[in-house]
Amino acid sequence: MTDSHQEQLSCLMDGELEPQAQDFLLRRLAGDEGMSRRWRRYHLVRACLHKELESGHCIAESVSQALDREPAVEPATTMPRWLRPVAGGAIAASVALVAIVGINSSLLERGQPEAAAEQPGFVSQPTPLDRSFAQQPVPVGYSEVTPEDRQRINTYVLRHNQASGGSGFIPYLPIVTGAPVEASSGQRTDQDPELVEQEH
Amino acid sequence: MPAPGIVARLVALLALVVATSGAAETDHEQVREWLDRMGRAVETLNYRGVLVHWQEDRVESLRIIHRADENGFRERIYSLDGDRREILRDGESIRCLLAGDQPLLMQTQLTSRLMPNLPINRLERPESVYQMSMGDSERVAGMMTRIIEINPLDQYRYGYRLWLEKETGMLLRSALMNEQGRALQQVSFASIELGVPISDAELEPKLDPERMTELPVFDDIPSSRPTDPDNASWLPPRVPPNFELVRVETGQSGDGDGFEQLVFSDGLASFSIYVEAQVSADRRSRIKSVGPVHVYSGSLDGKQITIVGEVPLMAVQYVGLALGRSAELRQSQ
Repeated sequence: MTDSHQEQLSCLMDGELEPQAQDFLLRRLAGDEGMSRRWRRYHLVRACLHKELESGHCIAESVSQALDREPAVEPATTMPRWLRPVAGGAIAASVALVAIVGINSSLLERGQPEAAAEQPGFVSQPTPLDRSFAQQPVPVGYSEVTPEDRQRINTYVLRHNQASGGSGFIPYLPIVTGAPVEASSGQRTDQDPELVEQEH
Repeated sequence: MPAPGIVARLVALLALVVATSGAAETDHEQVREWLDRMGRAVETLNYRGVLVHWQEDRVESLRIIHRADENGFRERIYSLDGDRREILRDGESIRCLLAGDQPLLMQTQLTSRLMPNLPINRLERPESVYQMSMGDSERVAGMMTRIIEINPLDQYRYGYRLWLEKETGMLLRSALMNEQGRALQQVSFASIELGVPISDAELEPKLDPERMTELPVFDDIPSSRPTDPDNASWLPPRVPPNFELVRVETGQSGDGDGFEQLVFSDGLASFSIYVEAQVSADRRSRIKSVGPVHVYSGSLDGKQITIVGEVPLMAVQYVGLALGRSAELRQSQ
């Protein structure tokens, strides 16, 4: 896999890919096992950084906990005693930062996630079930949104706005302006192709 | 005994912490007052004006006419650009008239509003996932406003920037922000008349409802009433942090099928989960968006599940992903 592909995957994670490039990449993801594996690893790392591990284990926390377990050693520096816990936090944060920066280069290349994949209850952790979706994501075409579909969505939106009683007229504006209905909008947010469309 | 220097530093640090939290509290209090005033102003004032709506590369103009009196409120919003579309609100009843190739009239009525006001006080809890602050003053549509900034602390909700008119608290401009702090959507009055008399004729639709096809949409039946959140017949495996089930409503759709609507809110943002009988043979799950509103549809245990809300893709995806996995697990058992 080339650097350019890695960069594109990274952009897709960040929702910064143009719609056409995104469609192309998703199609390629469907057929490329290596790329699909990398995609899952990216999610693993991101979910960990976002503290989505339900089991409570992630790199940043593990580092922080490991530092806490370290026996207290009288520092040789002249750092004031009351500043020490803060500095410990800063070190943990900087190690976590190294972990983030290092994602593209070393961690993923060495196949580290194999160990992580055994952790239970992970939000974005690939399981045998997920693998079957992840290998066949089929991007939904924009043209698939029929007028009936749009009306159905509008009715749900109308009723939700009524029910939530929100802030005056603002929630109704997308309906009056006829804002386009789009199949998934990964333009500015993270997107998981497993959810773009799943064949059950 | 600690050195005096250290004590002095500790005292200074403590003072700083106290001063900062005090300032934050005052800011929170002010923001809450402004939001209260805004909520009252947008519903109880009479106004007519032209709104400009920006979303990505689309700009559209709308006209809004709002009247509030002892009989309740009536409102008419209609598009000035493109296809003719109107929304008519009369108390709790809403009619949506859409012209074009297939003219449509959508009508929906709730027996009562589920939440007259979102539980804004929840925003002040220590675990609140928003940071709120008072911003600068700015002139909008010829009036002085105060800016309110509401920033989310995670990726499961949008941020808001509101420009509120200084005398009344009326909302004159609103921006919906994504987590990078970029505006996803902005709405601003280009001109507005506040506190003017509004005649009945102004609130009548220009599109003729008689000539439109009426779309069967949700219609509440008399037995439909809000139920206790504890009595929901079904709950999703998980929802994003700080979203709580605030209301459960049951009703009947236009074609006679029963449905349950679960409303989740974090005090500011909200989404609904509709649980209905599976009508379509298509069980694929999908996410769609209408501007900043995201809609997930999927199925679980023969039920059709639809999640709708003005929340980021991540929020809807968070709930939907777990639903998809539950469905797969049950099928494999």
